Amino acid sequence: MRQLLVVLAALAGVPGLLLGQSSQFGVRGLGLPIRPISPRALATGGAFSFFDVESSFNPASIGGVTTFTSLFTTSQNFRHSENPFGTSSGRDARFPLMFAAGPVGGTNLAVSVSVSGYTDRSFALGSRDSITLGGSRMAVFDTLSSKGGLSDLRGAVAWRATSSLTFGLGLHVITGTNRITNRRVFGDSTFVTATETSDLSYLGLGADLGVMLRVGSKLALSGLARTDGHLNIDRDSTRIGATDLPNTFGFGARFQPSPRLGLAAYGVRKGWSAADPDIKDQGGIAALDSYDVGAGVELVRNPKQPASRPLRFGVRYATLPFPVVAGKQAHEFGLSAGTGVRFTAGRGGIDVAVEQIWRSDGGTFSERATVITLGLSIRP
Amino acid sequence: MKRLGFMVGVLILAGCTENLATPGDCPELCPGQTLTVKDTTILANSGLDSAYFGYTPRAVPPALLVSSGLPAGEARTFVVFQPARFDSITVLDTLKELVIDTVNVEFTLLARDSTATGLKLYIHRVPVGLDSSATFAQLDPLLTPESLVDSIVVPDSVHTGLIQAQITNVTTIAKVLATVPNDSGRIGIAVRLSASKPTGVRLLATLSTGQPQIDILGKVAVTDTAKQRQKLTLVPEQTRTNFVLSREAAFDMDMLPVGGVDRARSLIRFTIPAVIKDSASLIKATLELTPVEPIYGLPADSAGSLLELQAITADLGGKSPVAQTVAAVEFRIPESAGSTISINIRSLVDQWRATNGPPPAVLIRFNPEGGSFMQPVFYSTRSLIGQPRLRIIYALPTHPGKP
Repeated sequence: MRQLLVVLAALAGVPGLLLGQSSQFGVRGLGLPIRPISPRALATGGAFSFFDVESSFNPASIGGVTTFTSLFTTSQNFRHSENPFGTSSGRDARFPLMFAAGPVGGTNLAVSVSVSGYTDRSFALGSRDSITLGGSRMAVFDTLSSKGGLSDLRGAVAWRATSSLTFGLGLHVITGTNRITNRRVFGDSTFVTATETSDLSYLGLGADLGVMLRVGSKLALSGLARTDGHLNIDRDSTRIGATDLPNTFGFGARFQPSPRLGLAAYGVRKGWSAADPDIKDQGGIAALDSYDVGAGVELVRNPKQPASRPLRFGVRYATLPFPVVAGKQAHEFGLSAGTGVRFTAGRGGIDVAVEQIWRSDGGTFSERATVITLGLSIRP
Repeated sequence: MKRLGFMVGVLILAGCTENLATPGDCPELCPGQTLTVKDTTILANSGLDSAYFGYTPRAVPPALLVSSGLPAGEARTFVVFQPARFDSITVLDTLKELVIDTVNVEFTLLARDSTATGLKLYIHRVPVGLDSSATFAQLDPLLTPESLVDSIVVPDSVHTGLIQAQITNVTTIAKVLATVPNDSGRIGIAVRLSASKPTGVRLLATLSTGQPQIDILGKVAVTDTAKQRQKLTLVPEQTRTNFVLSREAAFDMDMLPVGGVDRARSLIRFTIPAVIKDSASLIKATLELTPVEPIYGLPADSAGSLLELQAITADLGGKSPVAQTVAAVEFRIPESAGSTISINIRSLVDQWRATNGPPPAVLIRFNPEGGSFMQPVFYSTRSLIGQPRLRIIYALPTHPGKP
């Protein structure tokens, strides 16, 4: 418990870093949704996230933790974007999840704290134009950039009701800031660059319930329900509005036909359309319900050391809630793979996941991204 | 393990930089508008622009001017040297006769037009009664062949630094050093110029190293050979070393003179609209001044054509203290500028917008004040044309960040 508090204090100091990946599909709405899951779960397309003790997705999943566990992740995103205005390649680095969990001695309880990305709204849009000043045309170069997004600070507790049934409860504080800078550079160097900056800050609360049921020795099922209430939005310390956040429902299934093979699949629905009126009132395009499905496999080389260099593969498809063009809901499709090692008698471990993601709105906006995520887990 | 550690290191290092740029266009893709850029022109407050003069004494010019055929005007310099006895010198506590064999007349060249060649400064003897009240009409007729004593040839390769006439001819030395009994041993000289084309020079004035001087060299009869060679130096009287111009801009209270022989400064006041003062992002602020007549100067004299525009801490008219914390804007006036000149004073206007910032007024002075061929005079708000105005380009806030 003391270790948990120390980790919690450390995590509270760096919420601004906990974001996902930048994307042109994160320009609108609240940004690009982030999945608070470990590299192990990412490598399987997210399929194992319902059961993974190092993911901050299903509060029931921490019921399986047997010793204090902490996880720090970092990801590198390489991206190539295309839209009607051109193409570009970019990259960014993020720290999408910090997580700590441990059992409560003498009870069937386990607790965890985590800080993860909720949405990422980091982007920079560049365009060029010309304007008339003093009767003559002058080239201008506009950049609208945004850094920040929403983070999800979660405290969770899981109760192992029986050897095959676990319940979990999570409480969430959704917070974050978004610094948006509007900059216009002029072709004439005697003109000073015009800059305008707005700081948006957010605060909301949420809660979720999870359940995990083991059916026999090979099958496990899991379910999740989450509500996130509404999000208050301040611009430069002045309240400018609120946005309803989605209710989330999801399920997952894991099948383990042998000690060397694990299979999993999941499906999640997020009711982002609840935010649609608020988003439109605030000048946005729309907010649409989103769906997320995936499946994955984990091949264990040594059943006695299942975390030592396993092979993980996954596939995933999801729709994105905030269209960049009215009437066109974007989607993403991803293939992933990964592995991991354990060292110092299993006290430390590194997991890596590589995702190849294709995003498109079915029209002229598309994107290809490669995301490499590393996770360092410590079990002192 | 080593490979994984290497990968971790690479990823952490790669994380130090990021590139978020994506091509875009507004309003199609932007969650907000592009900045709205406005262009407005503000006239100076009518009747509240003023000119003041006399900030530095006319008797102490920062430079001495000499010219020939320059559109800016004919200029002659005169120097009266302090009283000195130069027929004898004290050596080893004994007054000894100085047998003069060389006289050097020295000036320091501050600026010249490098495109003019064959520069020659003619040195004339003139009466020692000249002072800052002297006029061109008084001095120029004195520069006759009879008063000419020698000349200084300025090599075309010399643009600044020491120039001198070395006189060894006994007759010429006598002419240079001739004194009138009632002049207390003072010597007065004047300088005029000739060159391959109309041009001028600026010479260093008094109170600084390199000021005009006459070195008198000769021998004394002493046994110590190291002390036989002696030198006397004549230094100028500060208030009797000056120049006269054939073309002096008259001080006109209805115009805005800057610099000139009157050492004028002009104060122009503006009223900044609230929208610019409170919420706009200032992009450029250009002060537009229209000269009453072309501003002639010495070609290629960048150091002698500087306008300085300063903020003031309080508007006290001619005695307004200059805001030391706000850097002055410097502007070099192009030679023969005849049309409206535009000076970017954004840094000053930006300070006007600050809480407890300086008042929206700009004080204009010339540098060197009273030591340049340029004598700019600008139209004021009382003029029918060419009133001073401020063109401000600014951006209005759009509050970006729509979802």
